Amino acid sequence: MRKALFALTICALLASNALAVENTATLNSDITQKKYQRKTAVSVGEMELQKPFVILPVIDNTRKRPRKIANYMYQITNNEIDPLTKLFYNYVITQRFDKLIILPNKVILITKTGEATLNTNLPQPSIPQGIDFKTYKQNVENYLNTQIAPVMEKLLEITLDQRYKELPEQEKMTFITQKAKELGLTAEVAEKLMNSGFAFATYIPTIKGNLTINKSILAGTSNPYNAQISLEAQPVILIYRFDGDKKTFVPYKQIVADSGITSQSISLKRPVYSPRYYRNLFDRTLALTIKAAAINAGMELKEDDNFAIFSPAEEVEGNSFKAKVGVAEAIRIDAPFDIYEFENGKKVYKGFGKARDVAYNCEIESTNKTKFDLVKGNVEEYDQLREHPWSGVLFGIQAGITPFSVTEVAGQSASGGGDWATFRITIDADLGYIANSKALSEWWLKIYGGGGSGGDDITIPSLNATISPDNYAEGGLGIYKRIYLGATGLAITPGADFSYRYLKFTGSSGDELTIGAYTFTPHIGFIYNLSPNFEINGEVGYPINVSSDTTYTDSLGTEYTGSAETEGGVNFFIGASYHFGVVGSLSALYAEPPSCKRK
Amino acid sequence: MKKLLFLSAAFIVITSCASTGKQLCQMPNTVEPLSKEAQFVESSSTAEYIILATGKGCTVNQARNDARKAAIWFVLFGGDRPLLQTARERRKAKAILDEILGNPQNYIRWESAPKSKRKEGPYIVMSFLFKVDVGALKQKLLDEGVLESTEDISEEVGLPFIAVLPASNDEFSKFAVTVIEEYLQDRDYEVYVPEGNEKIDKIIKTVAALEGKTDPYYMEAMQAGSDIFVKVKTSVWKVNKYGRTFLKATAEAKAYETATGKLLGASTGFSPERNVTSPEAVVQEATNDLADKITLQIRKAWLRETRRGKPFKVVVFSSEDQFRNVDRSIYRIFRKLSRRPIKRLASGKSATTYVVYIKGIPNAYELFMKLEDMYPGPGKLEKVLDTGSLLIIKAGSGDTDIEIE
Repeated sequence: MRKALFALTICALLASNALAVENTATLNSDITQKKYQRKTAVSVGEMELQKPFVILPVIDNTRKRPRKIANYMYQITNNEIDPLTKLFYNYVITQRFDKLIILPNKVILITKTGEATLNTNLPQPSIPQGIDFKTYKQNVENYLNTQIAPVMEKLLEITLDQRYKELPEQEKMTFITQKAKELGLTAEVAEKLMNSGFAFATYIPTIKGNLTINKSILAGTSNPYNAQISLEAQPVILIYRFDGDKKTFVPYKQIVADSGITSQSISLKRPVYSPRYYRNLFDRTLALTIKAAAINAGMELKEDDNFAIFSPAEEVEGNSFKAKVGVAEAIRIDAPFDIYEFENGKKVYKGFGKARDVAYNCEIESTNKTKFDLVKGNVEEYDQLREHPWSGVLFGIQAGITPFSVTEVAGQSASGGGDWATFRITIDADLGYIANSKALSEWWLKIYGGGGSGGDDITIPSLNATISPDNYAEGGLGIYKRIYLGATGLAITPGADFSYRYLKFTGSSGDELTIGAYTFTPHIGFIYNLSPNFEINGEVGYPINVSSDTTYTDSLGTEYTGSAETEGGVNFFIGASYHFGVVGSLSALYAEPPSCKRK
Repeated sequence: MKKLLFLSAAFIVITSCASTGKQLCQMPNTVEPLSKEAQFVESSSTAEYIILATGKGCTVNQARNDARKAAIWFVLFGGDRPLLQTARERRKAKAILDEILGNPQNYIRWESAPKSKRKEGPYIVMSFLFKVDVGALKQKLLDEGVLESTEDISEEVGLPFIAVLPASNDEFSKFAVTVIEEYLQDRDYEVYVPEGNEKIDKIIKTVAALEGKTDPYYMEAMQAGSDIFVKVKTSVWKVNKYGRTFLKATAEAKAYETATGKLLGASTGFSPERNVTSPEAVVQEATNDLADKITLQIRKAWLRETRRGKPFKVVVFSSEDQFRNVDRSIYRIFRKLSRRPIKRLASGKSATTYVVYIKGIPNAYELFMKLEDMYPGPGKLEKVLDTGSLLIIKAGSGDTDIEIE
């Protein structure tokens, strides 16, 4: 009988819990109306370098044949690692996190609208540089669970009320808030908040790269040589989640980021062969590489639903809509958001939009909303928006025809040249997103390089020369604006390029003609977005020769120099671009992530 | 060219077929909600409920409006505390349902942002939290004569006098008593607060002893002269976690018919575990959870029970030699007055207790007058005590002393 009574009591207690939870659970939205809830993040010590130095093979390209001439070794000292760590986490642990900052005599937890300080002498992790990954991981976990966990627990506890107020959903209009005038945080919500802590530790395996000393490709410069350092880093980011009940950190996930190949160069009057001479160039390139890796890591982080921003679409009017996200979630201008709806139990993709006017929503209970334009598909009130992991940089290929018909070369009347079948590799970067600038929204930077073939012979009657096309190479920089046509995913793209084109022709008797031309090309084209990550494009342009240098060397070695006059003509290209997520050297253009601190 | 034309035509045919294959969304031409899915969340005050309701529609606005209707519909008909409790009330409500559901926003004081949105078949299905003004809704039902007003009930069967008693002496149970009293008063019931009276106390104890009942709440309720008494019990738990104290309360209420001791309703309310400065907040939250339900249960049971007569407990004392005849006379009168069977709870050599249901007599005093008029003898009737549903009389000739010990 007693047993039965005991069992009944337990049942009643369980049932009562279930009922109580059921009622408070109804106050929260389900997955279809998911909203981002802020997480607390702490970084563990400094970034760990597998090798606190970088060995760069030096390639000399100034001779007839490129050759490796030496290995230069650059040490990375602790004094350098510290700012690099700050730089890295600035792009990874952004404003969307509440940040736990460890100082020598205190630890501060900065939330969206407040902060809490705990006076404690938390020892630094003191993990030596240059250790293997496994040992580093053990050190991190040991430090997290012996030193950080108690502090994390304390600070999460202290800030429970503050962070509850910052939640996107609270128990509004209920008895407890309206009549009892209590904050009344439930144990269920407290548990969620106590489990919202994350720790980040970063391990960088050997950084690879090289140093090249080159002849400058551009004609007529005062510094005919340059040196370029290229580096690539692939940091491994260990993420741990704080378990509020067990009061320990548990492994959450591991991200491998990629900086892409990041290069920096300096021009030289003459080749210099001294590692010390390039120290500054190395430091600059290393910082850029770390920044590029951080941008990639931040993007990779958004692949995880815990760190990506979710919000329902609101105030849908035509092709624009709004969402309660903004600076507090580190949303950049032109950031793409995917649109979903839930249909018969399935999550269905509907299209995507881009942030055009990012709201400052850093104050408590701010009602400011970010404005989006629908780029492709359709959107309905309260469809789910999910931040699309994006870097703002697309890599692509283009193929087309470029005219280069000449009327004069090297001061001589000439004809021929014709149209060149051209192939380009392109990099397109959304300046609005990268610079986080509303004024630059949908202004895109285009960098391209390519080559061609199939031009016509050039005839120079006065020199009795007929020379055949050999090489066509071009490299250029352009800017264009994407003007989207409704929500079709289609944009027209007026813009202009500035490029350098290099052409080489060879005659049958060993004579040679080279043409280097600075070209300005106004163009108009189209982009069709299949998604934020993949698009097809096309353009038509009119290359205008700005200035050029030509040299004709006849079979006897006599050189004729002068400029080239071209007939003009229309070029056209079609191509496709894809988002790989790596940004490489373009990281130099990236503005810092949005911050609630008003400057 | 021909090929191209053929392909284009095929494409148009295929796409148009595909589009006609999709279910067309059409809202039915009825004022009732398409969705009748709703859930009670909280009784935030005596006149307001928070309801989680789901609506269906071809557009977001239609789904939102349907959810509003579903919330109102739920308050009227759904769950375990509908405003319309009897078949008669539901029948009467049909006449004004179009008016109420046609303008659901008239009864909604607040609505949340959507809590859910999905597509099911051709419909958009959305959920919202609504604060429903149950007070206004009830007033509308009263004005339109769908619900019987308390005055009507008073005129017809008499409004019950209710005593709310804490089941234990702890401060939270006493606090819960006030919450329930507040709900009852808001619904125009007369709430009696028992006060000590030594003489009445003595009589009640004797009567209770006669029946073999020793429940102090029963005696207290009898003493208060209540028709119904509600026993309230609360418990508060403390849990320490995350560096703070979370309180959780449960409240339990049982309503009894005082005359018969019959259970009329029972309900339990819970609060979640909350970090609050005062336990009263969670006690009230838990009590709010049950108070509305128990008051509706009381109303429903009282209406049901009293339609065939109000219950009275009548204790008759007489001298041993006259008792047999007195008992017979009284019993015959009750047979005439009551449509329902007469219950004799306890009977001795000189005393007996009846439970009778008599229509048209609102209180024990009027019952006494009626008995006095109809009593054929032996001797006459003399009233000892009347409190609500309890009537104690002496009957017979000569001086019949009742010893109350």
